[in-house]
Amino acid sequence: MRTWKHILPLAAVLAITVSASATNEIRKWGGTGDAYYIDQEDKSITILGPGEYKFQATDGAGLGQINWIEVDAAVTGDVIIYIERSTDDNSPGAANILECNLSGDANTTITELRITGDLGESGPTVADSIGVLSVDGEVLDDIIVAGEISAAKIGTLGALLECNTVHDLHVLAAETLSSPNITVNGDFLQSDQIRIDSGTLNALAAR
Amino acid sequence: MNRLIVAFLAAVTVAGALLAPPAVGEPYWIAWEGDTFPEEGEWNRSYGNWDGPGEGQAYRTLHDGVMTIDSLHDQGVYDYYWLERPGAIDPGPGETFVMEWSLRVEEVDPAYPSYPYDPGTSVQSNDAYGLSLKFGVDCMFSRFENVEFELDMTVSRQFRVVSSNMRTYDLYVDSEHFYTGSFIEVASDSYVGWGEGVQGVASRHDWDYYRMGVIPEPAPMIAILVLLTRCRERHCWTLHLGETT
Repeated sequence: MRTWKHILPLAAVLAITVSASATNEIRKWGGTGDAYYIDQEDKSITILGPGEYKFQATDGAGLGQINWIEVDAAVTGDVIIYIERSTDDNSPGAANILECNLSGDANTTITELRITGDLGESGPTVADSIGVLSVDGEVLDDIIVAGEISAAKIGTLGALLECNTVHDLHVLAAETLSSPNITVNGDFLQSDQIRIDSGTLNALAAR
Repeated sequence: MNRLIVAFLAAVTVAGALLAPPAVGEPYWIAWEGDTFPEEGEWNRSYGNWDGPGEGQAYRTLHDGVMTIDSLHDQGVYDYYWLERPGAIDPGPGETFVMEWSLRVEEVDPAYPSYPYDPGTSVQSNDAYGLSLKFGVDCMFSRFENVEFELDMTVSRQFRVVSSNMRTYDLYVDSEHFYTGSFIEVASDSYVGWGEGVQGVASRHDWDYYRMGVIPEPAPMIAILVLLTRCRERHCWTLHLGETT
């Protein structure tokens, strides 16, 4: 009986300690854009005006999740997005991004999107252009870019990547899809590099 | 020394039992009734402002079982409650998911008029289907469905979401059926959250209670009650016969 007196409080303390989860937090850490809101509860970012926005998602000391990033339909002008860690240049800014659909009337650029996990579990990645795309995990839904992708490194390409121009594309593994998994609509320059380390490249529709 | 080790191992075992997730579909009920701040119970609290997590928070008061959350001093403040139940949100066969709360929205101060909602609640099912309801002073917005409703929120209202499949739901407001909607596939985890989760909008609002869980569906319960009543009637009848014979 006396032992249980000690066991139960100790068990309660252990349970509370173990169950105290770290909190997923999205934060804008740079950029001049100031028209946006973040819904921490839904893990989402909505851009409400033009400008440059630099975001990261953390979960305690590690990286966190962004469920989706969107640009309000009423926004016009240039919207520039970075997903990158504030503390270290060129470091991943989130673990997973479930959807980054920047479609709309704004001219949208994803200058940097660096993540350690998967991209597109809930929906496509859409932008007018992408600077650097670095996905350590899998691309689960289509990446649709109207213009140029400067450089992309993708762990596993499990969906379509479509753009007008891509200068440096490195796919570590490509899943075999029933439809084309890479489509380059524009000119394919001699200096461009496309490397597929493993898997089947279903089609490359370059002119 | 040995007794201490045994006691510690026993404590670890009991703690493990306390933390062990329930089997999928097992009924559960988590209720916050306004007696204490939610983080003193099952709920995790998350708060901060534009400067980062933990840098700012809402002014909170508890009075007569009602928690007032006031973030009007800073549009960057968020202050909400959440919990995760990996694989253990959904109802099983013959069960119903229920989420109910009481909310009054006194004032909302949005940075941008296109998004006049601040307090809210959201739930994500075991397989990534979600519902997110946000509230303004005179409106309610189902964010994933992108549907807005006019609703006077300056009076305290009681909400109840009921779903047997986490694909469709029925929403009741003040005990009246208000809307039948759909969960939308948006996220990946079994999650429930409520409170002031939006940065960029400030508000003052009151929560009276927040409850959620999985309960047996009403129909079988009614059937059981009818069966029990019949058994009771038959029992009385038998006794009566016994008395007469």
